[in-house]
Amino acid sequence: MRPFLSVLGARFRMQLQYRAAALAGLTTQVFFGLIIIMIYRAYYANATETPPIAIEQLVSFVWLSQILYAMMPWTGAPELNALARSGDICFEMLRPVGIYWRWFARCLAWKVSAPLMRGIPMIILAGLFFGLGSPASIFSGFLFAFSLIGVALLAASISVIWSAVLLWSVVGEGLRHLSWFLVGFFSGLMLPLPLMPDWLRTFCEYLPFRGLVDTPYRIYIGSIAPGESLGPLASQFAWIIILIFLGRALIRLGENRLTVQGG
Amino acid sequence: MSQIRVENLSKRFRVAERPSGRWGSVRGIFSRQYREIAALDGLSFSIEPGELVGYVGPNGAGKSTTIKILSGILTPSSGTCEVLGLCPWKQRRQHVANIGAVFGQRTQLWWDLPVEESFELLSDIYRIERSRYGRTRRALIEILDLEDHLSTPVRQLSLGWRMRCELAAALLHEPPILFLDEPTIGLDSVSKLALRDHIRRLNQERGVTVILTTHDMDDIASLCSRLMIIAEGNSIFDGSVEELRRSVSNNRRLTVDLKRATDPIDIEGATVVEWQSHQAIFEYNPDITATPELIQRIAALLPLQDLKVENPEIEEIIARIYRDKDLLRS
Repeated sequence: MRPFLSVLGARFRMQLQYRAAALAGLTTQVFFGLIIIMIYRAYYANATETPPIAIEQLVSFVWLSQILYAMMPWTGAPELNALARSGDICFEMLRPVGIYWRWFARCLAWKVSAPLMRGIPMIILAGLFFGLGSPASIFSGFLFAFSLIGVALLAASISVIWSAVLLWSVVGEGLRHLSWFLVGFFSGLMLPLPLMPDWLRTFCEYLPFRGLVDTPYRIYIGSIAPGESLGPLASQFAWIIILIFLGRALIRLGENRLTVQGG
Repeated sequence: MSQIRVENLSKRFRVAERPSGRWGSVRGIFSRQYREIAALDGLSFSIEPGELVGYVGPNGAGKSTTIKILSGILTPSSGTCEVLGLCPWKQRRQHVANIGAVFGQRTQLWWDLPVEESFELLSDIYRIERSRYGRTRRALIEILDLEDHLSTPVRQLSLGWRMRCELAAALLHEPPILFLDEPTIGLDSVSKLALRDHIRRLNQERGVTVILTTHDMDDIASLCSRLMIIAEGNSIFDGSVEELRRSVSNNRRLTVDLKRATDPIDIEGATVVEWQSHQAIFEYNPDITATPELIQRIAALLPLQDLKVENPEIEEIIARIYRDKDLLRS
């Protein structure tokens, strides 16, 4: 536990140094949020039948997705990608504790610190000026906060897997294209799941990515009522456990490969 | 008992070969051909506690492979190896607590954080007891003179200071064995001398066994009590620098500065290596021709201004061995 917490803390402090980047990110995201809302408003103004979610809920979705954006596991933690490329990875193996939880700690700190720095100002801005509604109820708000913990853990467990893949292929370019699609689309970040055709929505609900955006968002707006939220939350945490096992297995395999074929 | 024992160690790598020619890269996608190269080929040696061993060899000789196997991050194809009674690759977790490593072209410090935080982090990763950590840290800061640089982010440190911090980072958990892979690479002369001094102190004061790979022969000459030369995956020399000199060539050089331009002449018991108008360099074997005798002969024949006697540079000897590996075997 001591190595894990130490890495978590150090990585967190490291992220806090990037204040300028956080500010730039915040500005860009507010700008994009406003544009996306304008597009949705135009669609809704010309809708021929009643859309499955109200425009106010959609505006909330846009802001929540902008806040969650920085938490998405698009890639492994940047410094881990660099490690695989530069060969500094050998130092990771020179330690008396396993790689997995150290990497998980790095990814988790990265996925928590970035949204804290951008997310909190954005919630305030969007809530005051840009139409982010409040949670459907106090209980929904409480469950939403709980599901955010799940988002962070889920994002970290997926991030570590992207990093682990780099133990095989040094160039993560191909992977990055794939991860943008998997994470961006199947999580409901690009298009809310309720707006998808039924068959596609059902399909997405079976995937781990849904727990990244769809679950917290729908709990927030009340589309999943507090009484119905047990299932989605349970699936979110079940996937976390499955992906942790998968990541550990991958890293063990990758380590063995490195020790046989050289770094 | 030996601290490190290596017996008959071999490591073969499979290297994918791409067919050459215009369609080579296309064919390479479908059928890969592999070639085996032997990075190590039956290497054996042993190292006693407290030794400071220089480990040299031309690029690709197998130096890094040896270090990687000794540190447990590479599994050999065959052979055995024991470091403090542990097999590095089979008992890696326990083994790595016994060793520290510095790789000159890599870093184990967190780039964006102050040096101090990297140290803290390592103390947690190695689960070093707080009071013990405090003591070691103080001692290392004193030996390496780091006090003023602890709160600097690593990315702002000059290479010389960074290498000192790397040394400290590698020793925080008080490993009895330290691997240094080209620690002086890229350092300016002042930093290099300082780093050598620190390595010597760490070896003498803390009794750390050091294995040092380098291409800088001054590192070896000024630091190492023992020199191992490896070529094509096998040890071709193991002994002191003096022994190496003797086994390659016992010859010395005599450089003579002349008062006025003089034509080359033959001197009995010495051969002319170089002759410029105001300077002549002779080579001779001191076992056959005694130095004072030779100087007398030369003084009688040439208008002497100044002279000096030297051993051939270690750099030159090593270069000769790299070029002609049979030099030592004969």
